[in-house]
Amino acid sequence: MAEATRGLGLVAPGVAAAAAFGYLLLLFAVAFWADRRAAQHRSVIDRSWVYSLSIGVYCTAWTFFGSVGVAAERGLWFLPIYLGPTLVMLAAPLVLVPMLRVAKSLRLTSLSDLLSTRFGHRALLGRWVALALVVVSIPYVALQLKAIALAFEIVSGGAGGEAARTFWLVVVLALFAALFGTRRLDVTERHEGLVAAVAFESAVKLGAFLLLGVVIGAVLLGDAEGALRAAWWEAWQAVPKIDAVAAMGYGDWLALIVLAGVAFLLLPRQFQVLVVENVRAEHLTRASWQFPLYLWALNLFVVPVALLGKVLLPDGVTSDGFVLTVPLALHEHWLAVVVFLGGISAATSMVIVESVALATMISNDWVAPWWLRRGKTLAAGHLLWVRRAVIVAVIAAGYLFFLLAGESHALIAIGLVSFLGVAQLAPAVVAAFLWPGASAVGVAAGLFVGLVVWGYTALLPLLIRSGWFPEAWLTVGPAGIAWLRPEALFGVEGMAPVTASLVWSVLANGVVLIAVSVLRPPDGATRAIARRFVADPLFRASRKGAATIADASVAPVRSHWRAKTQSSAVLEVLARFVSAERLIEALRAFRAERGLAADAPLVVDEAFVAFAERLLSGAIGGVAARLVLEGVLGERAPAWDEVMALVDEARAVREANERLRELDRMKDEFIASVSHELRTPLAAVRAYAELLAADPDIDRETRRKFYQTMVRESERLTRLVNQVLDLAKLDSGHAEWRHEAVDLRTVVHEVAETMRPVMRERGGELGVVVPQEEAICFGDRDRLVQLLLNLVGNAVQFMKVPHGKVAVTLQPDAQTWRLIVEDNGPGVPPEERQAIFERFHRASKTRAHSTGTGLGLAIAKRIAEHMGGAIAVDESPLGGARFVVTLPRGTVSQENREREDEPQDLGGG
Amino acid sequence: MGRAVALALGLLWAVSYPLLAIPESGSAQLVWVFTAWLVAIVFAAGTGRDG
Repeated sequence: MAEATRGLGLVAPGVAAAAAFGYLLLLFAVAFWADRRAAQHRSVIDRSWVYSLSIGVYCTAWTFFGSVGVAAERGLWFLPIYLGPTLVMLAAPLVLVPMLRVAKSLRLTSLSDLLSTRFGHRALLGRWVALALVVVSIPYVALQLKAIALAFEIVSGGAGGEAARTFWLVVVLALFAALFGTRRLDVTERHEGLVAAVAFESAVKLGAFLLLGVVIGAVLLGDAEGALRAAWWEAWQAVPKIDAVAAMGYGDWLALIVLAGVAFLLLPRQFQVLVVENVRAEHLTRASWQFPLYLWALNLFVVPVALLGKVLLPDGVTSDGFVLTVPLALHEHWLAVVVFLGGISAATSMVIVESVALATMISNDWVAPWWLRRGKTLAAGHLLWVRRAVIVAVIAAGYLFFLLAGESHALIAIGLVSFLGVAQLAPAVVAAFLWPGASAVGVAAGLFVGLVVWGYTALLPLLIRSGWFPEAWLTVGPAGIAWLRPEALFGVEGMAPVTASLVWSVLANGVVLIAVSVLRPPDGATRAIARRFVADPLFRASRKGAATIADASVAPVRSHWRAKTQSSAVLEVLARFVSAERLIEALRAFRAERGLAADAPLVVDEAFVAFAERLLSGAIGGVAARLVLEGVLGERAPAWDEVMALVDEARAVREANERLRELDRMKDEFIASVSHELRTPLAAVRAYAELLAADPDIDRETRRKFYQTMVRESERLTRLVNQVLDLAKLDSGHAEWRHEAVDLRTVVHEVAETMRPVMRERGGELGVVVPQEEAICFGDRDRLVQLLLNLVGNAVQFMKVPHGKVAVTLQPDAQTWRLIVEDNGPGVPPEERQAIFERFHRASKTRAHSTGTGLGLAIAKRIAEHMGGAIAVDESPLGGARFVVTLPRGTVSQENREREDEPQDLGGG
Repeated sequence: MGRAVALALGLLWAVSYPLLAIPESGSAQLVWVFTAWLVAIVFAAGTGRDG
């Protein structure tokens, strides 16, 4: 390619190198500045747009250079890589918020930490997940280094010395990552400088691309002869449709979008910036549109640049380098340098964050547990140096891979293959958040099978194309077995190789995970932990949930276990790994949550152990934290989740039992009351019937009185049964309620009309006072009539005889209507004013002559409360009882008014 | 959460099968995808502040 670019204007190698190293120095300055600001409690990264930019670490050199190459060759096919993450971010409340919530509350430091913790603190699982991610990521790091070398080569026309410049750049990168990626041991304390630098790099990437777009726009518009513009326009018209690209269809398009979304979620560097480095949950909410906007803007000029490259540059110039060769061909050297720096940004940010993320996993899942199991003492200083060494080792491994396989086909195509490898974690992560029945052994088996299928269907074809295995394996299959062809497994053809690999590997992974989990279900401890992941995140992760993500609180439950160890010993261990400031702050919060005084002695119980474990997890990972604590406690500490699960279960069982006992008692009381109420009229009916049967000579008048009594008691029985059924309906919630605008004046008038004959019969008078204006309330009209009938019926029953008085008044209040029913009877003593609304309440002797069912007021109370109101009783100025029902006021719209059943002549306006 | 999921599914739909109905060229498909993408972002920005 260097040959092909010889005709272009080039940047002097020294200038390119100076720009690159000068840029790296600027990165150091940005990181130092951000760290200093953090020390002054003026965080730079505590801003949503900085967080969104830092997520831009997703866009590597592979995409910075490669997108234009793909667009030039295959049109729209560069887009799925960005559409996938866009979908994940838009759906952040569903997928990212739960992950963030759990990771923050458990202080998880990586994806391997998350999975090993979720599946029962299985160190082995975490170790293999970490290893799988390292294996998948190192070629990807190598790809970035190759992009840097290639960029040097293009801008300086292959003048030589690219290898040396790349090497020194790698050294500086390793230095930067080791310095700013390990400022503190506690990963959850965040790397302010590192994140600020990465966000700066994302801004540079975007700025460089937008600048390139603006310049080529100006060039095309300013094309005096119009030939270039015409050629560009012709190329624009000829952009191939999605399905016009060989062997690719819409199914593959969707598969790539899904694959990119999954990879975005699970790549180590993405977990690092999205979860570990997140300062506030609200930032994620804003980033859910800010980051997609970043991606959109970054891709806006991809196709215009690709098309200009096609029309401007001679055949043989690689389209992957168009972003550099186009400005060179336009003799805009300064622009080529800016874009070159954009590419360097894309590569370096990926290498830095990926190496830090992988180093955290390796040191927490491999080195620290191994060290501790050998009985060695672990100190913060050791681990920091381990982490620095691993960062350097990861970058060195990437560089080595680049040197060994830099020219092979495998490296160029490793991006998508890495994505496919990372996608093997998807079934485990989905199971972690959705299926409590998933077990560690199931997840490990699924992951193993998935990786084997991935190796066979994705990695092997790459190695074959790089010449490491016979080409015939792809065409006729290994040993001539056609159904074993890696890209057409089981003879299934028609899918693009990447789609086929995704489908087969994830399918096998998921099926094995489910099958093995069913055969070897999780133990109690794993199920207990599963609750923290499955119970509320997905289904209750609302905006409130997102906004309140914080360190998990330790609920003050009664302790069941005490360690023999003194708290000072545990604190001493904590102080080895956690900064003094952080420890003091955490202890203060712990005491506050437990309601302990600042100087109260700390007891080493489950809550304290859980607190210590979480604090340590942030520094050395979950597995090592547990080992360290077991070392200091001298015994196996009960898993907090296990204890919490037992406590929760015991509490739930106790509450359920109490509730059942209460219901049983209420049922017994109710049956006793109903039986009693039924027995009284039944006994009367039976007694009179027996008298009538026993003495056929009873005179006509007495016989008539007996019959009247029997009819009255039968009616009472019927009323009682109806009311019992009605009350049961109301209590069970099965009653049907209409919701309509009701003018309460019509209710009052209707009830008054119904009750007037009874009043006249008993020699009393019924007064009604209603307001002039309509009195609207929303509710069920028939139920309101029933409520008022019960109250007025009650008043009529207890008023003085003769000279009885009952008054019904409807009054407006600020927010309510007051419906008042009063009588001049004996009234209700203050001590009975609550109980009177209970079912079958036994009235005091003053009201003992009641012939009611004892259910009328209970029903009235339920109706009032269902409509958002209340009912109370006090003393009336008339001398008897005064029942006051308050109901919420409503305003009736024209529509509602039209729907009202009542005549409209009652209301005004 | 419901709005966010609906938005993501809406975009997924917009960048998949409707593309089949764009007969002209890849550039027309490109304009469609970028427009749908931007519309989804604008909607997310409008509703995203409270999730």
